[in-house]
Amino acid sequence: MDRLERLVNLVAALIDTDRPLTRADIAERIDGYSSDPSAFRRNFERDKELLRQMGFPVVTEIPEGPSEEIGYRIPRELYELPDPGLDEEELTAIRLAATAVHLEGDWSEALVAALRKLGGAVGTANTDGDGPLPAGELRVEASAAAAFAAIAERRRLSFTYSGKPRRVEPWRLAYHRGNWYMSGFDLGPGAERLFRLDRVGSDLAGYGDPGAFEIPAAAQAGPAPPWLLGDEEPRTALVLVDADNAPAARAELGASAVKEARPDGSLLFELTFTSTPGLRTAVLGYLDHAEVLAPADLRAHIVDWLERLA
Amino acid sequence: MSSPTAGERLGRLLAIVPWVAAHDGPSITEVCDRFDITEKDLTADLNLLFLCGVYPFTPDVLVDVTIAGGRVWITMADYFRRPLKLTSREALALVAVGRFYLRMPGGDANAALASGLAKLARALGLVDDEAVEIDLDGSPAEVLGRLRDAVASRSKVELTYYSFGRDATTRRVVHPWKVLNVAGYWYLSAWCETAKAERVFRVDRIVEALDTGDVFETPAPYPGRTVTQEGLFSPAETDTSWVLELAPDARWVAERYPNEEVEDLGGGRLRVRLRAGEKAWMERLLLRSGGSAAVLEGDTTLASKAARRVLDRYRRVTLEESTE
Repeated sequence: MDRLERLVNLVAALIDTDRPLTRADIAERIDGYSSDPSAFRRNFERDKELLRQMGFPVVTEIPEGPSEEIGYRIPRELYELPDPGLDEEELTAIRLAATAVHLEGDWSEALVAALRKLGGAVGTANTDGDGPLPAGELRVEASAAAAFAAIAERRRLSFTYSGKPRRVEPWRLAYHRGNWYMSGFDLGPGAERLFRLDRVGSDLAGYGDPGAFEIPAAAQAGPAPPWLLGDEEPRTALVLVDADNAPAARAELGASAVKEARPDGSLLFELTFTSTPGLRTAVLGYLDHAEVLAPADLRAHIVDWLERLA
Repeated sequence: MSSPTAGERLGRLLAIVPWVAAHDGPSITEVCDRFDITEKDLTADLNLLFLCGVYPFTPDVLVDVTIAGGRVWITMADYFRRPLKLTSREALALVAVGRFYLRMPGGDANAALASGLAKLARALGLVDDEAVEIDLDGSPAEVLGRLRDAVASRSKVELTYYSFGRDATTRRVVHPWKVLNVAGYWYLSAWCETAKAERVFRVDRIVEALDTGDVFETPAPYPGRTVTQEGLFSPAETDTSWVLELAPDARWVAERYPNEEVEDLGGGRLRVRLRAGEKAWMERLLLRSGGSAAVLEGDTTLASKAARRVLDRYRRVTLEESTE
């Protein structure tokens, strides 16, 4: 008998039952298992493991009654995907997005599986991604799945970061400059923190009950720019960037920070900063195509910094 | 391609069954198209399903599959009435590509995608559809849009481009092949008429893109998928080799950039060998790290020359200084 047929029958039986099914029930009710007890046990364990890996909620319970033997079932409320109510147009739009954006590694298989469950998959070949339409390559950090699950459940996470154990209420995920970040409330210092997922030094382990906290509506997910990552009193800097570097600066420093676009194509930026090193690093990236105009002490700091190198 | 495993077939089949059961005899062709399965594989899986059911295997609890006139019907007891919930990986994969697409040139106009993602977010238990934020650099939408149109209409474009590595601005005519986002940055892959080769441009460093009105021939097969995450960051063999000594506060250099050799000098100091093709790239690294990164092998005067060049600019008198 085909293993697939056995698996389909096993899933149907585990969903259809009102009481947990013991191994004896399963051996009796499902075709395709060996009558040899140890072979049955081995095959059933293998099937159960496969189902759990695929996300089937096979729960273990002790049936009521005198028997102490454990049983298994798949509760419907854990199994069934609630209908998100997508119309054909919305589903087509999601399929299109899935075609244009190429996920790296086995994430593309997860995407195809997800689309199938919604009632419409796209080919794994991603043929349109090779055509003239704009396309994207997206790498997803492996641990982002655990973060996402915890965010959806409002469940706390414990993990190691910068060598310290953390207990965090996760709020949001952000993809920025090719890196994945998780924002959340760090219960240790009692403050909002941002974690770069590739720097997490352990698994993200969920603990406690779901629904343990609420996520503030306005929480910022992405990282702040380096010049805002300090503890200095916020001040305002004026930075002038030459025309050739203007597009790059607009992208890096932010279009909303442009105070003045000059006739020669150069841009004057007005930036709030709390980190002198962060701002210095950003400005020096433009070499001699940018300069700090104000405040005077920041300008003097950069001159000092350069004089030590000159 | 290897034949799918039992697990893969099971996942596919348990997605197909509720969809077919909920639709009144869809055509086999549509099922194959939607679920990315060949007719042969679909028939094989459905034939097998026909024998399935639950205890006590009376007709009312068995799956009934009817195939007739190119259409398929499935009736059964309700154990497979809905597909299996999305795993967190599957859910995140969907949300991420959807949010990504909304950030692509023209993607923000896709109202159906936005409403679809909002419904999905609610079904997944997210507080709002911004739980996953995708940020794809700040390249101006009008430049991205113009490049996208030029790719579609095969128009040659005159680019004024600031080369970050060489710290120089150049002008050239290119045949735009593809606009692509890799690792969070937008790139244009194009044939460069000056270099007579494919070149990849960072869109946020394009100073100006002018449509020349000339049309180019697209080579077949369509090129322009050559930007890869690795290709962007791996230095070439021909690049100049540098050896730097790093003080503890410049150790990040060894962590961030691909290097060929790291030696621990004790006391938190490192000696690192790395390759850099472009002088300006090394100038930035040295100016930013102050005295914490020193050149041991390579142009040992590079840092001081670059520092003096920038200082010259600061020593010019600027009007703003007196007004602030």
